[in-house]
Amino acid sequence: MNEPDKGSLFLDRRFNRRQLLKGAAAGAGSLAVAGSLAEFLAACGGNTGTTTTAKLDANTTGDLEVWHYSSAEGVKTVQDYSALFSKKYPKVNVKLTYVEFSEMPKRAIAAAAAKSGPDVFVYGGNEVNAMFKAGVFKSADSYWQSFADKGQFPDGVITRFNSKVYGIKGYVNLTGLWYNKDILDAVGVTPPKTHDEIEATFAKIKAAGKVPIALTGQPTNQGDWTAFPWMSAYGFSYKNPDAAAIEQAFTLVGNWSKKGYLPKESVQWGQAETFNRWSVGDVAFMENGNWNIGPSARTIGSKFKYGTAPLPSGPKSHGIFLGGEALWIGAFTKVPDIGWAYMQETLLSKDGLLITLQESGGIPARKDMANLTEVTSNPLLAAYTAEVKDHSAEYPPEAGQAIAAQAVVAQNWSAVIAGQKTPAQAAKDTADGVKANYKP
Amino acid sequence: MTTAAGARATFPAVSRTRARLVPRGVGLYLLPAGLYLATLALYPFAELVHMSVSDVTAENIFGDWHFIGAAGIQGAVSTADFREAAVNSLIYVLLVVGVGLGGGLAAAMVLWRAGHFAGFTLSLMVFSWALPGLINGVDWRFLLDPRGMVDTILGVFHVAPIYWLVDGRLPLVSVALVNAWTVVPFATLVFRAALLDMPSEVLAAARVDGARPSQVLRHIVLPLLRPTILVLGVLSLLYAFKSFDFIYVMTFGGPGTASTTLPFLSYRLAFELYEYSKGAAVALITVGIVVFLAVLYLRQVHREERSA
Repeated sequence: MNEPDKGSLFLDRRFNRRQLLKGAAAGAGSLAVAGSLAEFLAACGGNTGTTTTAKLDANTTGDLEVWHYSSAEGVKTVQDYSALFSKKYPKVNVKLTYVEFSEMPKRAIAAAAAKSGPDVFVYGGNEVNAMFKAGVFKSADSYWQSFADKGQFPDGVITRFNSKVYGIKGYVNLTGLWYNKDILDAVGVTPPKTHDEIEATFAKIKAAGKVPIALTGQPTNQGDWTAFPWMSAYGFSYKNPDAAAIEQAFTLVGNWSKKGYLPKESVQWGQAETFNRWSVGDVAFMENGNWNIGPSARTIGSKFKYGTAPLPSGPKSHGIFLGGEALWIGAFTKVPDIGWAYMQETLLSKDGLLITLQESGGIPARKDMANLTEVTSNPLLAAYTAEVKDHSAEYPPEAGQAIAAQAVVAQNWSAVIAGQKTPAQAAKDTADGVKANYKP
Repeated sequence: MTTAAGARATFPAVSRTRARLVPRGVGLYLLPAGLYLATLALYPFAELVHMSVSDVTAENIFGDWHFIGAAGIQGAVSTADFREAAVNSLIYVLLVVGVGLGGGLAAAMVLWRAGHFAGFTLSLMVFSWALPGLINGVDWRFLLDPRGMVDTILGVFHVAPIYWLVDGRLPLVSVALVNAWTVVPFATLVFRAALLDMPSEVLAAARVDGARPSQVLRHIVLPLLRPTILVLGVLSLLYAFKSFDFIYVMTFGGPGTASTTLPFLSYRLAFELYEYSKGAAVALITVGIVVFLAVLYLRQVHREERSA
């Protein structure tokens, strides 16, 4: 079991991730905008080449349990990872266990109490800090240090605790603006580029009898994820929760709800429900993630034409949280070498990341995949890669302990959309709550 | 063949053995129930109390808990979230109990007489009662969506969509009414059993004396149902107070915190925010209220038994 260092239990990222991202982005003049995420994120160079876990080979036997939260069609991606792993290690029996996303941290912590748990976690939520403190993860540092491809991965996708590597994201996800091109063409509008353009665009769409926008208003961390770009566009940050800035953002979104641009029932929607509502075909825009690229092709097909655009800019430069699933070795695994091999062969490998890209639209973090045709030629990814360059924000927010503060944001975001609170009251409550709960 | 004399001769010996064994035997019979209670009720409750007076986070939940005394409970109770959740709980409980019992009594009176209609309707009601709360909650969430069946039907009568799970106090009221809907079948069964037990000659005498149906209900039926109403009331109160599943699936305590009750607040603090001490403190207060109500219930049952 990894023992948390009692003296300094905080997420040690060595660099401020946002600064790192911005710095890398600013110096990326030679990079193409589309498909160059890894280069934007890259902070350090490194050698390339195929790596293997020296002790293991095709005759290695054992059982490996992987906990994931990919349900329904998403589970195919995880199954494909395992098939990829099994090609190289055919005698290792991989057991995939589905655990619902919000239940994953609770189940993991409870399992750690009984000194058990899976060999590998696929998890990208904001509760990794709590899970680490509860002793859920085993450090992957020794494996990482001898990993030949480690230079392919920017520092921004590596999670360290107490200067040791624990989790690695092979790809990143973030939110952007999806649009129904048929509606936009019929109404004669284009995706708004600034907040100032939004009102006129939405008014025309509403007048045409369509729903202007769908987004997540749930009082959960999905709501907070959705709210952050709009709030940060007026200067909000978790370190500086300015009530005036928050009120401006809440007024904007509250007005959408009042005017019928945003369905009030969005307070019940998570990101999946938001996608379901948009895919019906009568909603012009949706704020949602690049992970919907695969589901869109499957669900919408030729029902209507659609595309993606960056989120509109506000008075200040907004931030968009960088998500994506990381791989972690379980603290109580008896087969850590096999667990690491699974990580290497799936989300850290080119083949594994191609699976993610093709099936769900996850943007590969590997430098050597930045110029792949699959990345650069996909028009749906272009908006996202542009956002990574200009607006990426670290997640969990600003490398702090933010779960309670995020809950405050999500609840007030939800309350404003529902009309439960005025923007001014919700802004005050949010500023007070974030100040009281956010620990840098 | 045993003679009467022989039987008399052995009786004192058996009696002595029983006198020795009975106290020990009672203890053994109680042991499984005692172990069950100690493991699944007393130990968790002791841990809950311990947690509520300690500083417990994800970092030390499996380690040493630092004692902080009543500060944890004070900290949890003094928040605006707690006050809002307490008020919400009160509204929720009143609605579930009021509508659940009122609906149950009304349904029982309609279904008083046995017959195919009563049998069929009761079967349907039992079915809805037996469904898990989570499934009922998800079904109703879809039904109450502005694009769901309820608003679609209302739309036929030109009623604008009602945001059942969104607007003002409506989310709390809507969830409480759905919860009450699951109380109605149980209440109906119990009330109907009590009605069928009612002496028919008393009712017949009232009718002969010219009492109107409303007078029969007020002066005869309700007084005779009083013990049933009390017992059902306390049981429904307990059920409503600890209700969690409907809120979890229908509104997740929202919008904002508009439908957050004490049990849900406890869950959110402990398992969403990992503030285990505060979550335990809220749970402890909730348990305290439930225990108080349970004592009331037991006293009532005891009183009924004595009067019977």
